[in-house]
Amino acid sequence: MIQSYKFAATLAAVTTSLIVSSASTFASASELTVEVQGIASDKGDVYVALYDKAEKWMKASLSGVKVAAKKSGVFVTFKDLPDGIYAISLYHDENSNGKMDSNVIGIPTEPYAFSNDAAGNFGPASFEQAKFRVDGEKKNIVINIK
Amino acid sequence: MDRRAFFKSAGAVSAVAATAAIPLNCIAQTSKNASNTAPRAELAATSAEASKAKSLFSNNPQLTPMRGFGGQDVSCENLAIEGKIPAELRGVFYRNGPGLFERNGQRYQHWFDGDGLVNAWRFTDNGVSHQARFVRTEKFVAESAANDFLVPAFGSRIKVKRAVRNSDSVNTANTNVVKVGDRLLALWEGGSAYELDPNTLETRGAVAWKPELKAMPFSAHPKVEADGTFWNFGTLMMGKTVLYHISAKGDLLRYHLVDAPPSAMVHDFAVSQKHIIFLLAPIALDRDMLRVGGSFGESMKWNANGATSVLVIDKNDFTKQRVLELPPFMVFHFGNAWEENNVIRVDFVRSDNLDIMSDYMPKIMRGELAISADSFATFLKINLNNGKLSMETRDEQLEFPRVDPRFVAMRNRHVFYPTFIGKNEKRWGFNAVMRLDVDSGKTDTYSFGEDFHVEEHVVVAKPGSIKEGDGWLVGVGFDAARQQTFATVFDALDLKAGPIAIARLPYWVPRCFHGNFHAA
Repeated sequence: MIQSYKFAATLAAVTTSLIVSSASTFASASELTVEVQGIASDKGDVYVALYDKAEKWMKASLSGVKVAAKKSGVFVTFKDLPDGIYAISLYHDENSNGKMDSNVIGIPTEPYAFSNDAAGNFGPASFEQAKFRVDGEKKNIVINIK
Repeated sequence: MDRRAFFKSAGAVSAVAATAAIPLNCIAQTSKNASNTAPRAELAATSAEASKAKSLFSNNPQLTPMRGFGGQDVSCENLAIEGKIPAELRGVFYRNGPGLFERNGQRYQHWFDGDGLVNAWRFTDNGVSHQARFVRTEKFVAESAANDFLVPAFGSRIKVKRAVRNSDSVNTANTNVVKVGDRLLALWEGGSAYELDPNTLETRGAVAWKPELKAMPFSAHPKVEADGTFWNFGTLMMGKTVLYHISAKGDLLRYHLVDAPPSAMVHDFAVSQKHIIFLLAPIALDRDMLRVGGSFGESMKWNANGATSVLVIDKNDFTKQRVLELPPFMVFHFGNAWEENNVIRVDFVRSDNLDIMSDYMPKIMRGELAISADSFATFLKINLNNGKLSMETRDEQLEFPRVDPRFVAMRNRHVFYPTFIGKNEKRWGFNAVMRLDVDSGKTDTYSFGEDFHVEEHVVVAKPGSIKEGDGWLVGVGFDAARQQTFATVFDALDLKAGPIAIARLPYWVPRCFHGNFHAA
């Protein structure tokens, strides 16, 4: 019933090679705060990756952050973002092995989610489904990983 | 005593029983609010949800069990018994089937879509009790909380409202239930087994036999040998199949990914003394249909010009395999396999194509009686010496073959089936049970009559006996006149004498697919 796809490997590769915080010199810039809810346990880390281009979606992120998982939820902030369209992918590295685990045929077995709570169907959600606009000084979004 | 008389009286009872209040020895309990345990007058669905099924099924009370429940669990103590339950018949008869078909005004179009409702018929010194509890799969929990369908179903188009991360996101655990060691497993075929508490039926969670086997398909038709050795498989949509070899205690001994001729639906397999046998029907998956939102079921395409592949794998070395070909036919269920002098005998139920699934079942789900596609007992010989195949088919309408569990993967003489006796007109399922003596070709049957529908029946060995079939045939049926589900016990070698005992529920439960009796 399921297909093999390279999604797990891609997501893991992208999020483990992230720059831990982003810095920008843009004058008019925004701050994006992502609240991650529905985390199953306090074990492990949550990797959050930010994308600004559809063609780089799930391939090369603009920026990424790793935070310790908390059942009560975690917050991640991206600063100095130029106004524009963005999308987020994230996963819960439950066993802190620095990668998104998959089963023997490559299907992800650790929880993951996308901005807008976009629901993939046997694969990642699309950039179109996950995209949102950032403009003005501050933006807060909530993503459920349940 | 004329055992047939047990059922003769049934027709006189009014169908009013369908909506009668539940007796005080029974409980209906909603999954969303466990404290709401007051007996309910209507078990089918909550009042807001019942309208669709009720109107659909009003003309065909024979189909009532296809209405499904609204998500509540039920139980009943001290069932009414007719006849006498044998003193040595003690244990639990677990059954599983799709039990919920509607949420938020939307009704599934296919029988395979419903959420697993596990039944336990407990045979004790105090009589017979019944319990049915929905498996708390990831899907069932999320959809109960939302009171809506959120993820794709096998044969219905459902708008995706919740991420489908892997096959367990859509796992209904609705097809079979079996114990291995102390673990009770509710089985689907596309994803993990769900482990349940054998005593309470509470869900313990999805089983990962190893970390890398998380969310891998684990079929609903494991084969369990007399010594408890447990074999299973899972079909992957990449021309691959995963094989599992599990000990009688429930520990994974081996697993292996093998190449297999691609088939979009592989429901069952067979195991002989030395081999694992698959019959892989020519079913392709229309990926364009899937892409535009078609369900998995409607994306399956029968290739009438293709072949049904016979895949034979060495049990001791999964890398040793052989593929032979037969003209196209479909098989859902196997009875048994055994071999002598390098010739494997396999018995199964054969149908011409997927019509029974793509045409008949959706009609039944809409409350319509329909003419079922043929399904016949078929016997295949695989000669491994010269690669020759030969096949014989009988002409009784039947399905759900079972053999004495002491003779799985060994030479067996008897196969037991629900069958249909009467004109093959518009009907629902089967109304009789049949034992086939494979050696002589003779049959031993008992028909319940027009207003009855019977499910798969299983053989329970008499303690201390060694002769094949020495024991009871235990199964479940639906009495349309009374609108009640019942369990029956036959002498497995004398079906024509009628049931030795019947345990009646005061309510009906959704029809199940498969199950197993585990002796106390």
